[in-house]
Amino acid sequence: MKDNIKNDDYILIVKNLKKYYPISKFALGKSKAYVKAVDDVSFSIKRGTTMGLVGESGCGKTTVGRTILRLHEVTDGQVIFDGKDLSQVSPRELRKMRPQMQMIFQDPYSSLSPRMPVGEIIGEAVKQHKIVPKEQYRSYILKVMRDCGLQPQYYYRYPHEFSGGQRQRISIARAVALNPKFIICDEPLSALDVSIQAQIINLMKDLQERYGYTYLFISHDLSVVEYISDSIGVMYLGSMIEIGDKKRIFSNPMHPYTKALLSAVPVSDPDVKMNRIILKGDIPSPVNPPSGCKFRTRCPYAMPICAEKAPVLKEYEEDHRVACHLYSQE
Amino acid sequence: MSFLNNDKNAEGVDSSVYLTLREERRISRENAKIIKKYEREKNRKKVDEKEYLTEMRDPSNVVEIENLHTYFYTDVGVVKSVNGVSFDIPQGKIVGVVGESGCGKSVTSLSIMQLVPGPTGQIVEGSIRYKASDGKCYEITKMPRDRMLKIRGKDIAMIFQEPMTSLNPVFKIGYQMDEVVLLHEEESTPESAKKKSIEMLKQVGIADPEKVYASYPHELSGGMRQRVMIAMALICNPRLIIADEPTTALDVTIQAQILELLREIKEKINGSIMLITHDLGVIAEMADIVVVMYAGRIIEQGTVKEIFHSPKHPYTIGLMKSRPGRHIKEGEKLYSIKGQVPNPINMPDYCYFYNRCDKAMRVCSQGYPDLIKFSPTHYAACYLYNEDGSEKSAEEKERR
Amino acid sequence: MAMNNENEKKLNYTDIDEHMESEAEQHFKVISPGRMVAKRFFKSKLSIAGLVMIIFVFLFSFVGPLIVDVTWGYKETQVFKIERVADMITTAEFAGPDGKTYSYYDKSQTVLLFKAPPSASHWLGTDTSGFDIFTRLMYGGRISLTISFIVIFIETFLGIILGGLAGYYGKWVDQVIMRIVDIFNCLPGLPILLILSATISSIESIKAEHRIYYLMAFMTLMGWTGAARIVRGQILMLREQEYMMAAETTGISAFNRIFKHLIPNTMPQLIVSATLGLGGVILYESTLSYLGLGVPFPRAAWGSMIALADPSKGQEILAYYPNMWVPAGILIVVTVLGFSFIGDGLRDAFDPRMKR
Repeated sequence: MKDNIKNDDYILIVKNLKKYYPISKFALGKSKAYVKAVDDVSFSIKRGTTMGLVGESGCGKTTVGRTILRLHEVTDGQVIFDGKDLSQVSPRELRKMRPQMQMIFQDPYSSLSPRMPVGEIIGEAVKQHKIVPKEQYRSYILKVMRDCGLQPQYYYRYPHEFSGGQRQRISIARAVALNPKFIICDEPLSALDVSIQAQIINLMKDLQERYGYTYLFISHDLSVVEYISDSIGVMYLGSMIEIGDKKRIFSNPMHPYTKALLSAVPVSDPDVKMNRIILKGDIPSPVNPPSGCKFRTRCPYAMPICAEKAPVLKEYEEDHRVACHLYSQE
Repeated sequence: MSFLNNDKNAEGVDSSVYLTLREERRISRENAKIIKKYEREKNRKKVDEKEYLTEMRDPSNVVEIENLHTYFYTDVGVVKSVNGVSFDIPQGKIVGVVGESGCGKSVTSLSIMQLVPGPTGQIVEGSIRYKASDGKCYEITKMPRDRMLKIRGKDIAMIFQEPMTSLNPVFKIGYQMDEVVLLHEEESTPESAKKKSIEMLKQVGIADPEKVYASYPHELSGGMRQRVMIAMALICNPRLIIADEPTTALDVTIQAQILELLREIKEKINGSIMLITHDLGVIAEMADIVVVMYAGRIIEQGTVKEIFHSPKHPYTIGLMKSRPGRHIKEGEKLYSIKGQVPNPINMPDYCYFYNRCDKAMRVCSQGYPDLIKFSPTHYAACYLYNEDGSEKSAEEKERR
Repeated sequence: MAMNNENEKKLNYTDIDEHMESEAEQHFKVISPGRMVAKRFFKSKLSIAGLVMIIFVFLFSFVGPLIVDVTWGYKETQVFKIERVADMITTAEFAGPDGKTYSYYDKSQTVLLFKAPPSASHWLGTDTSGFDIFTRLMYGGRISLTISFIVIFIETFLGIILGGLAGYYGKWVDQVIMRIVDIFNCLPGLPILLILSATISSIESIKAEHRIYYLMAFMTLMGWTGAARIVRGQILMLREQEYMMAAETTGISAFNRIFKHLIPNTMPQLIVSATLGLGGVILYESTLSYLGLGVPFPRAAWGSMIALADPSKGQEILAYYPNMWVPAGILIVVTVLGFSFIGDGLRDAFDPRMKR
């Protein structure tokens, strides 16, 4: 099944990605225990689409994003970007490929260098990679700024003069200026006010329509993910538990965790009384996850087999795969 | 282009950085004078109780806030965080306060607790009437500090956003809970305090209360800590719980647990909850009465049904439309309120929402609108409506 | 589809919008972080006081000698013999043959050449060697300030390099450098300095006036550890900032990441610690000179000027000639206090949250 997706339609194919962090017992000793932040995650994204990655804090969604860009070294697995395996390329080559894949960060306050004017923040890498000829540089940056809804006067201003929403626009402009094909958005809205969130979502949608970007949209906010994504992956404790087309997942969630997650979202209508599934307990520690299915400790449908064998992702309907023993029995 | 000549007040740019040194000096000198006056008032000892006893307007309310003004005298100018806010918290109801960051929702709650961070923050005007369990009514704005200590934590309890920082990391949970009991209940002994603490932990749905009682805050997860915070708030049978963004730092599934718990608790103690949040979904689910704040003022208030089914103020309408959800059709663009939240210093003397409003008229830039009554419980401050609550006709809007 | 989009984009960017260009160039007030800091710095009265003190000491030490040279023609080691007649009283007690104690009292007059009291031509008088005290205060300040600036500059430079290496590369590099720092921090500075300077004095091939350079080198060697710790700590903190990650994802080279993003952001802390350190070095230098181990006679130094009043050599100067040692003491206090005020002011200006 995995072999036939080696297709030009996909800009990114992640195969069995693993990222383990060693926990050292002594300052210099070798350790044997690991935190499995990302444990055997596979997915692929079609060109020009948006994939949403949802999950609660500590589920490894941010680590997936950073490992794809090789900000963290890959423990095991493949990240095939545009036909090239990123986990194998040399640091030199990687740096040359950097402009093609960009990232928008969560915290608009710490993601902009405080001692650089806006124009330089956006243009620093443009200069480094010689994206445009020198004489066009300034007008290019100004164009990018206009595209992202920033006024030209901001060119010489410093980040401390801007509000969170404007800073996030600068952060987007920095990514867009490099003419990327693929952008990872790591919770870009969670630090913003409600009325500003909508502006940023619209901006990102606009840019995608105009320039055909592919997004990996990491978020814990299900309603935003539902709005912006074409396909969705749900993560729990480092594993992908359900993945597929957005509409299929939202209309027919199969994994008990996805069901609970969807039902837990508060709805802005006092008349709608959600039939809420309230999960008991907390997310277990990733250092020492439960055996078998990681979700079984909180699952209302846990069976004996769940403790023994970890379920694998299986396709139950077209473009909708679930890792759960509930369905493999039928 | 429209932004050609807005040099100083460009949108989204913090204009306070453009003050000259001399201007800042002048401001801080003036502030020092004002602050001194208020601090002297607050630090008085042995105040006659008569001075801060008062009468409630409606005896079914726990707290009545009337025309509250809380200002911060900062070095770059006066920030009118709360600028004429009035609302009631009735007995046994959940009042939801919604608004974006900096709209004054948290400062309102801190004013009720007399916890506005001084000396820069001061309650300048208005009254907060509180009905205590013994039937007396107190005027919180005039209460001396030492008297307020007895109310805080006992009659009015607070739950904060960040359960990580609101518990002291060096003491065990049990110690911190017992401390509250021993402080507020005169006849309690260490043993009875422990019994009560464990009882409370059980009440907030903690399966193993003895173990939690004996653990340190860092040993608990975020959801557990928030439960402990709620248990601590409940311990002295408060009449009002102020929950300031109680679920913002939590995950969705944990948020659902905590909201469920808050609802149960309210039924059990028959107290009131003031729920502060920016999440309209949480409000829709929890609140009975909703107060929408913007830039230090209430722009709309009403029952949940009124606010969610027939919102009147363009800001409220915009907020609801700008959240992605089932109401958006495939491929449709999200509605977004243009511009930024205004700079809190030097607010204009007309409608604060004027620059961001789609329906702004000429009259909107000529003075702040009065509250218009739509029903006995529903109010909004907007020029779009006539005195009797009907929407103005198109020609009339044009004329204005 | 993707190709198509790219073409569109290129087209879009080649049409240069003159209007936007001119708008970006429009004159408006840009407040850079540096200017914000300056504004906050000048808002505090204490930091202005510090600045005034330091400017005064600087003018006094570096411009002062020139003026003195022009107006009076005084040099640092010029000896003035000013004759003045002073009473000399000799008293003694002795036992007479009758067993009683007798006292001897004799009053005579003598001519003194040195230790002149303050006068119009010698504002603070002359000292035991006949040097003009006022002039020597200026030259003493010159050497103190020069030494402290050189020491701090080299210290900070070493600290940036070594702390930067430790922080940026981590792992064993960090371990090695930080253990060296620990070792240096264990060494007691003053005793070693005393031993060292005694050793240096006994080596004949080293000239007395060069001794101070060796001591300075040693002070630098002892002092860089503080700066290294600060830089390392800052870099460890900054590396986790999202803008450093952004610099990596945009493919900025390692050189630029270090020198354009990391180092400039460690500067605030470093400047503060260096400013506060300046006062410390001046005190150190004065202590050494007081003990006779620093700047050698006949060169002037504030420390050795105070040493004239050393009570172990007699109470006379301490009691009767405050003009010889009090001004040097005041200057040391003013300088150290000035640097402290500026350092505190800078810290508050760089990080306004630290205040209150």
